[in-house]
Amino acid sequence: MDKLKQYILEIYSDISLESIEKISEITIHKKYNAKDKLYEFGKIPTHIYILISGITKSYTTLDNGNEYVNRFHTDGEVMGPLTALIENNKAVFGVECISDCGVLEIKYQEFIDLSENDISIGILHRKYLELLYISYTQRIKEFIGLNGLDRYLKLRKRIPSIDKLVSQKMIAAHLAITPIQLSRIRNKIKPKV
Amino acid sequence: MKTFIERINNTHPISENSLNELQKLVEIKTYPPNYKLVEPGKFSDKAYYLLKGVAKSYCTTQKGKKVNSALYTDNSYIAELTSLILGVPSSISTLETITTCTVIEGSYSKYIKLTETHKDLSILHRKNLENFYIILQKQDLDLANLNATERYLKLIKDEPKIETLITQKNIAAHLGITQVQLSRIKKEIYKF
Repeated sequence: MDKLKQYILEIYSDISLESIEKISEITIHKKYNAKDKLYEFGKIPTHIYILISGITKSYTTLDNGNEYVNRFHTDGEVMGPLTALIENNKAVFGVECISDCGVLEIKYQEFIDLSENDISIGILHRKYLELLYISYTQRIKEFIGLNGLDRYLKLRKRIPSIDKLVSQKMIAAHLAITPIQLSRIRNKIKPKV
Repeated sequence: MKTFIERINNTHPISENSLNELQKLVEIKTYPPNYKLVEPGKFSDKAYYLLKGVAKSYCTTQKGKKVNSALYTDNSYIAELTSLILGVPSSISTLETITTCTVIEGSYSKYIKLTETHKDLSILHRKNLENFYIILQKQDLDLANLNATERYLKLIKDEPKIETLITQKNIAAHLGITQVQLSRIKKEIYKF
């Protein structure tokens, strides 16, 4: 649970140890294999997961049948189809392990109850939602303002080993370009020998 | 102020005491059309609730292209939240009125301080943040899913009066297309 404490303190360093303990009591450590699904489309989610090792993708299927990956998650990230959790509704996004993964599992409703009764946990949750809002806005701005090449470079900056971790097809699905376009982009930026 | 209080209580009912504290922080103001509430490089600690009017937020890309990211109509929260959260000037986003706008405005940092000492305000704020997140996710899916015609149809479904409120130029910018493309789309839709 040291990881849990570390992640919580990274978000909100002034939280009391007592509050961390309360969260720790509702957290379970679990292991999943590559290809396991943490969330499936059409099911009502009940838990949130914090990734402690491995890599996962949050994805959905577009109207045209193509897969759309909206985020690759790496250590320390909280995963969960938040809209479905908030609305207690069926998930539109699924989360699948790309490699073997270690996660911390927390019941969403129990966490929300804590956040409503312990103001320090309430602040932690606010700060988490703020971070999420910022990164999501950033992504949408990139989508609107940047081309495929710029989006690829940004992704590589955030996860430098991304090309080794996931397939080119998945990266293309995340950048909303075709694998052929991605391969052209990669050739373009490859150092010339 | 009444619609604002209604909106709050619909999101999460708050105590009279919390409401009084909140009301002390805000005031009603009216801004002319094309007024920049937030602009890149200048920090403003203000958050707004639009009572009446239409406003837009847009980004200016490195190449100088302006891309609309949202249109706001009556009874919506408007703010450059990233800048408020981080306490730094907005980097590329502008928040600008399109028509005359009447808003309730107040200091975001003072409001956050209140949420840290009042449980009901803390829950209210969480629910607002959750709603903002849900809007972002819809926007993300729309961007990946819909073409310009579908985005236009969705816009007039969500905001039936939008055509009478703002210019075609603003609508085209919001959809990320040129005015010529917008006029072709409309011809296609209304041909019968």
